[in-house]
Amino acid sequence: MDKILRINMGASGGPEVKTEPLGDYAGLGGRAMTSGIVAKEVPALCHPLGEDNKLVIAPGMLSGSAAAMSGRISVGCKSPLTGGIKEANSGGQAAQMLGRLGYAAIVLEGKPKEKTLYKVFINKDGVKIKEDNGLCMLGNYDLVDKMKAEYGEKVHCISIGPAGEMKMSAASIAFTDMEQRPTRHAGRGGVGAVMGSKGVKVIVIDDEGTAVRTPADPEKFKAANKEWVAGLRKHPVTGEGLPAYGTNVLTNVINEAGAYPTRNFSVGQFEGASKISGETQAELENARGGEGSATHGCHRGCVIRCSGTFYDKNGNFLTKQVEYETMWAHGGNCGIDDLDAIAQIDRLDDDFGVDTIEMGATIAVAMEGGVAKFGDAEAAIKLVKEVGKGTPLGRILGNGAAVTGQVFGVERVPVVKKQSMPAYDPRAVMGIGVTYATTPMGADHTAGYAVGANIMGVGGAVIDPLKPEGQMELARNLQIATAILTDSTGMCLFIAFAILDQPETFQALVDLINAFTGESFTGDDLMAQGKAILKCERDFNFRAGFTAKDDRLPEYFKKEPLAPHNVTFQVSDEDLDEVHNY
Amino acid sequence: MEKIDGIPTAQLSLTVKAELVPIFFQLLGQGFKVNAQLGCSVKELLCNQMGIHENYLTERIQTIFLNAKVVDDVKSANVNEDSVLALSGAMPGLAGAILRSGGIYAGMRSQISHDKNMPSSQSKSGQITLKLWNLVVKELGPTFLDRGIWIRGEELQSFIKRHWQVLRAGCIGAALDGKSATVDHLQNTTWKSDLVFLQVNSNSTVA
Repeated sequence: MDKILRINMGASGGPEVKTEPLGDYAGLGGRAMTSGIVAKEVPALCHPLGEDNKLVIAPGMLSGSAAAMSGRISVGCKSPLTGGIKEANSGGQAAQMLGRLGYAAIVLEGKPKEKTLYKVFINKDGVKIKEDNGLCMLGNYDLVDKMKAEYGEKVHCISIGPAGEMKMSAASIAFTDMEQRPTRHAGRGGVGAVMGSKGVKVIVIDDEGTAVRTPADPEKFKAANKEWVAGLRKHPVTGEGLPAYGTNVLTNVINEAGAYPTRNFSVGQFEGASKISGETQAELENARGGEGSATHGCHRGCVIRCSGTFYDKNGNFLTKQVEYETMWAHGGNCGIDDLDAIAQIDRLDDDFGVDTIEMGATIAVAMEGGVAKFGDAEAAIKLVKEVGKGTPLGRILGNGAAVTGQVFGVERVPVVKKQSMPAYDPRAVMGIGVTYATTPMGADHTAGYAVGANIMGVGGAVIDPLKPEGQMELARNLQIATAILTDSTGMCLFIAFAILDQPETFQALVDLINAFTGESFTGDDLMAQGKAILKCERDFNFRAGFTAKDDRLPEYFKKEPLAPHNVTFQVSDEDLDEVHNY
Repeated sequence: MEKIDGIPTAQLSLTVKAELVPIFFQLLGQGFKVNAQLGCSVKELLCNQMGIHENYLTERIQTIFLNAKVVDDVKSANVNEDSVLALSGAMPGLAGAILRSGGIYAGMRSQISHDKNMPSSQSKSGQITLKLWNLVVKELGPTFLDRGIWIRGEELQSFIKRHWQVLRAGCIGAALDGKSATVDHLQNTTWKSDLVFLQVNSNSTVA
């Protein structure tokens, strides 16, 4: 990955393609790359949908190599949802393919003067861009079918649905999976709207004739990769729990903890949880059968395989295995306990190109505002269809929970920096609330992920998590480590458990990175890189007008006790302000 | 079957094909009652009374809830009448790591952690509710089903209605209160008892 592809969509005479060496961005991947470019090149006060914003798509540092689990891809820009810097990431095939084609990033710049839609085709011979207004308002599924017919059965797509074209703040960017289905999404923060504002409907990638990226030290790399895979396979979470039940295995546990936000965060337990749990879902998928039903990878090189395939009652493909956050957002958070209905909504979300978390949270807010009744699955499906059609109501919903709450006069709107909270109530699990409040991304459950105890204490004294200051330090270190170890390497977040519990597996990851890059990074070096990423993101947000007051949860989390434990969020503002004091 | 004072009971024994056993895991996940000597620690209950090996408890049961609160120390959390005990394997996600029993992120959910409680001065027999999930239900579920579980009649009725087709195909034999029964008969039965004692054996167990 030795080059950056820049496409100026606003150039006179049509889109202009330029390939550059990496320059200042050498050695960066994933989030480090997207946030590095956005922080340096995008004016913080620009309009997110204007010509000065840039959309950066960057595979991880190890993507395109033979390193297991390295197929995540990052998308960055100034977010139309939060108004701050954004990195959203996804699985799918694109990261590995772009890596093999040698692109460390694709940067979409400028803005077309006319309302024209473009498709971009990238292969080993270069880049071609064509106008194609016939793609206007196509759903992601039909769009991908068209691209397959035009470019062949081996290509993969990065695309937007109607929501992205309508520049909705909940719009996602879809990445096709191993079966060429648009099921993987960079969902959060409205990145799809920015792609829509650039007039790019789809980027088609063909990596035929390219080879796997070569490590600096092939022998050491091979040995480290072997150790790495063995470590992932032997751990009960990555080797057994996730493959068998997927991420939705969390439903029963979070519900039991009283931390399962139910009916728009009004209580912490959902009476219908067991009907939509990972165990029930896996049982249904196994009973219905079909290829890749309960255990499937989201990209080539995945050894955890936490995904699956959801077939309807008649055995027809409907969507990928519904993930925990989606199952919660459209399930318990809306009072719905019908697996088939939730899977149908997931399919609609993917087709229209919207973030499932934002849409579920938005529908729940709308339900509280009286637009529909909690538990009414048919009404929820209709509301999502309104978004796809772009009706006035759909436009409101498609712009997320914060806008919807304002329109319908709802006070209980679970957002931070206008981004909806995911599936964990911060009153019951306060540590997650600290991450929601303080990450530069807006409420995000992936911003502070669990990484090895062996690096948690790097650069500091032993942490006592039972003390408030220990909690702040944990939240801080989690954010730093996540920024570099998963979001920038291209590694899936779920590697966290194996490196948390198995020091030899953490070491294998460090060895893998070093053998591939030829560097000699230590844990300290990696943490320093993570800090640098967070600092540049926070600096962008401050320049965009954010202050410490934006690092807060909505007030009701401090006032409204959450049943069944009747707890409130009790972390003080002063403590929250200490998280990034490093 | 042990009869619980004051609670009318029915007893249902099913012998099913081995591949049918996992559908009963849903009942174990929703929660079922078991008889136990109360006033002891979670560890004592699970290891000494339920026969779970200590290594299994340490290595496989990574997430434990007692009355919806996370148990960090199985030796100091005590089980009393009507306690609800839920057992799970290690969970993914930051939340999963935070909820892990005795994990390094325990401080991030201090409000829902189970405080130590004193063991009862006198041991007595009674019932608790158990919930088994994911890897734990896969591994321990068949044993609990074989020994027998207590569930509410209406839950059993709804379960049979939902699964009657597969039950019909996979049920080798059924006995209700000692008398032979068919799945059709069970489906049409109105379960008046508050609690039903259900035993499920697979043909492989029988063999």
